[in-house]
Amino acid sequence: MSQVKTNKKFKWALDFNQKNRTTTTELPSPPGYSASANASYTESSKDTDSNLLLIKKLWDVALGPLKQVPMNLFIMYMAGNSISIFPIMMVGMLIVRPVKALFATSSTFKMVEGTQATGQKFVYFIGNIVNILLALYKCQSMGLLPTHSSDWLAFEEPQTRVEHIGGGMSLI
Amino acid sequence: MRSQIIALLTILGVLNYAACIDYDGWVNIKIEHSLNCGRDKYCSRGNISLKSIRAGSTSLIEQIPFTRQHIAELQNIAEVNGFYTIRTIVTTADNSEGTEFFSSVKADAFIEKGLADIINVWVLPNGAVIAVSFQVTNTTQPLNKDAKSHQVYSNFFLRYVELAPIPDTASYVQKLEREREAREKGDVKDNRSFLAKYWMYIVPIAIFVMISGATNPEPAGAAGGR
Amino acid sequence: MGLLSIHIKPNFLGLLKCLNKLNWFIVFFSLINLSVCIYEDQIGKFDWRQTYVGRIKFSQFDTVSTAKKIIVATEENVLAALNLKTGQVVWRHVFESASTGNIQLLHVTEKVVTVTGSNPYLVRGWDSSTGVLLWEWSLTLQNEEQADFSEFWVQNNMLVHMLPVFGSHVEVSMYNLLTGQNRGATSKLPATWTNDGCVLSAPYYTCISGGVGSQQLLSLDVTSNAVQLLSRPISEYVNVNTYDGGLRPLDSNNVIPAFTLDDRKIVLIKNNQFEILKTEVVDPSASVALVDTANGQVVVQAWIDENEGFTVRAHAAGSGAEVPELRMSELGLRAGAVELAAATCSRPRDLLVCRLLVTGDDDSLHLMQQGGRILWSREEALANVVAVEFVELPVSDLDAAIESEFDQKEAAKMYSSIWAAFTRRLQTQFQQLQTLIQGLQKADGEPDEAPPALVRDYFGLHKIIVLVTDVGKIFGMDNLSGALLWQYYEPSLDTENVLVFTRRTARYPPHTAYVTIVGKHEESGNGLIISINPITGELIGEKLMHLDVQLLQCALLHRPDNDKLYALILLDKDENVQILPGSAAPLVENMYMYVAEKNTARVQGYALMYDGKALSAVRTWLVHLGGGSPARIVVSARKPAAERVHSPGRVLPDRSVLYKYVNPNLVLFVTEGPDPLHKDVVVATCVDAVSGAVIASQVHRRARALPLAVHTEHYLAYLYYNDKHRRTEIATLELYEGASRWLAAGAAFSSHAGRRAPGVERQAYILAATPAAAATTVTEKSLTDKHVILALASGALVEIPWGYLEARRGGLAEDGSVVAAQPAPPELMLGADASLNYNRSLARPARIHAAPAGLESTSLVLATGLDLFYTRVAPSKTFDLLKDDFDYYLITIVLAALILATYSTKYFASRKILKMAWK
Repeated sequence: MSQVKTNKKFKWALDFNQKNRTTTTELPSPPGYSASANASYTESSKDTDSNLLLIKKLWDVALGPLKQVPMNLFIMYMAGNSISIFPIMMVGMLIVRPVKALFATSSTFKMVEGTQATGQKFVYFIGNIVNILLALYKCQSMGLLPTHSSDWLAFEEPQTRVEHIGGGMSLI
Repeated sequence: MRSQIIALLTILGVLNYAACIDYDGWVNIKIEHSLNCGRDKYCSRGNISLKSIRAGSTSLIEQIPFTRQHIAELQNIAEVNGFYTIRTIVTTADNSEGTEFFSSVKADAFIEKGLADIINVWVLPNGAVIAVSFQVTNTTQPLNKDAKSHQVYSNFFLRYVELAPIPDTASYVQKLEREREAREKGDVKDNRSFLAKYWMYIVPIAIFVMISGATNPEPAGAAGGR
Repeated sequence: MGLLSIHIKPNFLGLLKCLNKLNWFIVFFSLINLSVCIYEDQIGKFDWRQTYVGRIKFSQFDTVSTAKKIIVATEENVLAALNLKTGQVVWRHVFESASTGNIQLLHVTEKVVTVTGSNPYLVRGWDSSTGVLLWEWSLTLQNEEQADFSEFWVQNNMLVHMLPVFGSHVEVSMYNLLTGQNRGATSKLPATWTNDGCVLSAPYYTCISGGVGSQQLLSLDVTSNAVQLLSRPISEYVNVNTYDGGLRPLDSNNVIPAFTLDDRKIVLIKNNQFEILKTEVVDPSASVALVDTANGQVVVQAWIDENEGFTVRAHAAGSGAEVPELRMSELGLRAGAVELAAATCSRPRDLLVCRLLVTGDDDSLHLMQQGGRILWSREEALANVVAVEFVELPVSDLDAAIESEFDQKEAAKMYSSIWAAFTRRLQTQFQQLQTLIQGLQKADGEPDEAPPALVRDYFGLHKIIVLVTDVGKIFGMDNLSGALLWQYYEPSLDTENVLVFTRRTARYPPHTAYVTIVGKHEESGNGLIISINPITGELIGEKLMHLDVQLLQCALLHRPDNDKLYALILLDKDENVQILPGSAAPLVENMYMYVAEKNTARVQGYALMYDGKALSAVRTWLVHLGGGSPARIVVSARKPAAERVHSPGRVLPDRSVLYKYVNPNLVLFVTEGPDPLHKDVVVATCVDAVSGAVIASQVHRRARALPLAVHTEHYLAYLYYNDKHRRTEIATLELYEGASRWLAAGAAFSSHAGRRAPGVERQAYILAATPAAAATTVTEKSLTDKHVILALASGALVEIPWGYLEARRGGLAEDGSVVAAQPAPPELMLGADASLNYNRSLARPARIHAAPAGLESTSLVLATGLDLFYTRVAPSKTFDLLKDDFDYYLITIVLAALILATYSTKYFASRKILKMAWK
């Protein structure tokens, strides 16, 4: 990634000092200087270090939804099962946020192009799904999901009849 | 010709309902139908005798088996989608003349279900019978058409007319009493959820926290990342 | 939480305030929604009441007091004052409906005096202008048996009571009118010549006595001190050979004693002498009255002439010359026979002005003036309505055209080409445009006086009520205004057990609506069928049909024939079946009938069979609901025939469904019979009318049944009087299939297949009132809640939600938690706000009828009795209708303003963006 960046940055630049640099490396090292330490540092800071950081950060993002689960559980517990404005708002948030996040997955991981991108995406996806499931469970326990036969009662066909009757008290 | 089938049957009458029977006595139910009767309009199909209405646990049903003629006549009725009508005459100790009842089942259904029926007899608390009705059972027991004679499988149920409830003043007064006591003690249980109870305190705090969080926008995500 | 912080920036104290305010608003609005009663400005908006008094028994003009009135006493035991100009009731007193309320005498001077009851009698004085009771005393007779023949009249401020003992003597007592003090004891006048054909023409008691051919006309002034018997042979007045004993007092007479002989001669008693008038009775059916005018007495006769209609002739009593001013005839008034109830004549400016109060056989009351002009009419038959049917109105011509255009069959027939369809479309559009323009013109101009056309309105709230009255008069009434649209009088119709069927609604435009009334012939008891177009009142179809056999029962076939007409099935006494029209016989299939005998509690069921040639009824079942004992059926209740329940179950608190047992063939019978142990027992039995199976039954001990029961969907309720606790109770039953359904949704229910017994929930409640009628609200699809409407003897029409009567208790608490079945309040609370008729009390309510409106939420209710009261109820509130006071202007303005604001801001925003881009 850093290479790409530098390439981009110096697309139109011409490096005349390249040769000079190689010559300067031939100078003896100052006292207390460790070439090996320098080598390892340059390696990590230039390439791996920033990459690792990014990956770490991205894992953070990917694990974010899962980390929210305990918090969500707590909110759900606090909200109670009664249907009033605040619990409804909370449940609404619980369900809307992960859905939104799912739709925004690609934009969130736009900058990622690496070996772990699929894994991160997957974890992110799973985390959001878990959140949605939790929210659905909350809806269910609040009775907001049409899962009972009573919820579909209004759409049932009314009963018809085979026999028909007439009559009443004797007219005589 | 007339063989006797003795069927011992269970009676639906639950004991506590039987308690509302004021009167006990015997009941005899004569079952007649109009199949293979020759010249008469109705001839006997059988007889049910009950020793006691209250006990009602055992009853004796004697019914003639249906011969080929019976079946043939029944089939004739079934062809025109007609009714197989049964006349019953109920005699009790009080009513020696007998009361006449009629009931019908669809002839085709009766054949189809292998001559199995349910007899419901409804009895008033004073021991009088108000209705004897026959219905075809739901068992799928096809009729063996080759057999010489067919037994009629009857299930007999004695049903008691229940005593209607009366307005429940006593328990309501008790309930009011309980409520009053509870109020005096002051332990009215509030089983609402924590948030439902205290949201008016939580919300301002939450809002306050949020607002204070919003005023110094520290990039929490960046700080955590570094 | 993030969402909240975005929308609500600082100042959370303000937010809290706002929330608090909102809270109060919520409380406030919920209170408004809770109140069921109407607002003050809605009085009479959805309802109307009409007050009636019943058939006139006595009437007199009150000419003394300043506000001119007619005081009437009626067969319904009502004393009332009618406004002379309008005929409206000024005041009214409704006495007891039993014989204790019978009005024996009405005497009007400055005060109104009535004698009511039958031993003991109550003598009351009323203020004629206000109807306030002034005095009252009671009069008890020792002689019980003869008391029925008592005669009362007022003479010289004394109440005279005369009690004839036929063939022996006449007892006469006089009492002080105000105090009841007996002036002198009872005097017994020997009168061996009296018989039950005698007439009183106060103060003369007149009889015809003696053997055939030698009858004597005898008359006695029973109040005079000296007993002086007038006696003349009858041959002096009439031909003895043709005389059949006809002796009638005059219909309206307060001048001098007079009577008619043999419906031919008019005899006066003047100066203790019989005096025969020169004027003869013109028509044997004529009603004769003697009226005092300035030029002496005038004999007024009124009758219905076959050609001329209602005819009045008047002759001077002295000379016998006709009084031409009083000659009148009115072709429009056709009321069977008429009777002159009262007459008064005055003479302002040398002109004889008479007012005649005429009652007809059809209980109508007309006030006639000079020249036969009817000042007003009252249809008192409506005080005794026996059957009611709500009938839909036809759609307007324009709508009918549109409907037929889009009718598949019609369309296929008419529009073979696309051009035909196109021209038709244009035509209809043009018509629509025309009506629109007409409507606009009307709105601009003065409001037209013509009544609204009889076409169906958008919500189906406008209907016609067909009312069948006890006397045999049938009315068509507009339900919105209560105006009578048409009337039809059939004197030979006996309306006991009369049935009304709507055989075709007005929904099928080329065919007219069709209502059939099945009654009995007055004399023979044979079936009498009247078929009427309920919109116009014309006889149609079978018209007036006399059957030659007594009917046992009749029913409507469940499916219509090609003319959309539902056939009428008649089951006669000999168990033969007829069908009208006969061509519908092949349509009979799966049709059953039941007949309940009231006095033996025997119920029989019949299956109707069509064998390709004729219809026959086969008796399939018979039950004795009283057992062997002599019980009688007090009431039977069946579901409305067209009821189709669109809510198959009841949702329980745990969100499972308890499925209703909706057996369309279920009939509730409530019987009452003696019991050796428990005095009277009431047995309620639910019988499947197809199979004859008893579905549920329960018994009340020591109770008496009331003829009030309701039955819809899966629930039943009936009222009975608990003898033990001396209170009225209401028993409710609910039938349930259970947690799973027996048949698939939409499957057909068959009584022959069902052998499972439903679960029965029972309950009983105390009703702290005397109910007089009961009904449930009916809506189009049975989706809306049901309310039970009770008419109380106190005059209130009370609406009770079924929730209060539920047999199955327990439900959802406010926070959604499940509440166990708790002991319900055992007494039904009938709050004043549950009264549908607010302060308009109904006298003697007898029946309640409910009919569905086109709106699912609304049910139309008519209560009959002495008064008629119509209203509409919305058991689940008007969820499909905007509020009555909905502000259309405000919402339009707000909408327009919002749209305007949207576009203007859009414009300004784009301009701003443009400006910013240039910066």
